Amino acid sequence: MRRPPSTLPALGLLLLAVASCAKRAPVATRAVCEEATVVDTNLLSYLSAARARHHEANVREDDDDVPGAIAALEKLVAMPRPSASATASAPAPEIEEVLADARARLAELRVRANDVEGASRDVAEGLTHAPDTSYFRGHLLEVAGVVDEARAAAYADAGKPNEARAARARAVTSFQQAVSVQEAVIARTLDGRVRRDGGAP
Amino acid sequence: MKVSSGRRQRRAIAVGFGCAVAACGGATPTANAPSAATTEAGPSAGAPAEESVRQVPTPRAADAAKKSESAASQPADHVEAPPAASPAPALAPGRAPADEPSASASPSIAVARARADLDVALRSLDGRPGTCGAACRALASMERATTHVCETASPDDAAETRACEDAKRTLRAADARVRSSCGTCR
Repeated sequence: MRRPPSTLPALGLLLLAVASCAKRAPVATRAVCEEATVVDTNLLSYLSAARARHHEANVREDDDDVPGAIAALEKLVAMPRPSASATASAPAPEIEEVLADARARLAELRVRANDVEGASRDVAEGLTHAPDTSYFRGHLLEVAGVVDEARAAAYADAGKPNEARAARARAVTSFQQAVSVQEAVIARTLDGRVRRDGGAP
Repeated sequence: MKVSSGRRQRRAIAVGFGCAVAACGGATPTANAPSAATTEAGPSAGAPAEESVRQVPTPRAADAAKKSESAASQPADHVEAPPAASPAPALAPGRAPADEPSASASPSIAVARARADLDVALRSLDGRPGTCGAACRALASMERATTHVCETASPDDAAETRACEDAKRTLRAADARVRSSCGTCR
């Protein structure tokens, strides 16, 4: 069963910081703290809502309600995102990770629901949220392989061996890429080295 | 999603410390010492974040922990220089003494500076070695992908068989590396 993270320590520190700012900081410093806190509060709200959607999907999955789980995650990816701050040119990485992860889970659920094309679209969308070497990109490549595996099986069942073979070859390629990306993630994590995969499938 | 909770916590913790340090710095001159702020922020911000990553994997990584089969892969394409792996995530090094003039000059500039400091601090935290939760999660994904490669590969296809063997080899190497640095992944 998937467990949600505890946000209490972080929230506690935020509250302490706010209290510290309010009581002791000069006005200008307080403004800095307040803005930073507001930005993070918006982000925390978004992440909390996303986590709730994952919980909802967990419950649906536990009830073998795959369409219900899909619906919960569709709501997640459609949620309004916190607007980027004036000083940030790119979306918050946390949001991008949430979306990449949700798309990967959606794709897996759609495979279970025999919606291979929908799963393929989710993988493609997810990869746009994880363009660089990361666990999320590697995981999406892994799911891409699963999608092509399912596609190959469908072709085989339909008596289309050539198409099945091609889909299987794509699956192997995606799995290889997933292995390479995760290898790079491990290397970077443990050694501080960064590698890049050969590109999206 | 749950991975990002680790980062979220790091960010929240870093913001908390940043604000606290800035607030203290504005209140008392002795609290301005950057080294004190740095030593406080480093371990305190890092430890809970790493623990959280280890305990709370992403939904898919949780699945990974259940299925642990071993195997290995093909090398990645190239290696880049590491992203500033400086150990000390100085939240506001040299910032505290400059607080008064910069803040009074323009709150938006102060906010931008604070955010830049925070970004540096977060990058330092993210890039620091020893984040075993992240390594274990990636390893689990590798294991699943390798299992799939070998299940999918046709025994009659030499290239696919080789792909399976390559993946197993890469996985074995990664597994050994993670074990030597982190011990057993949960």
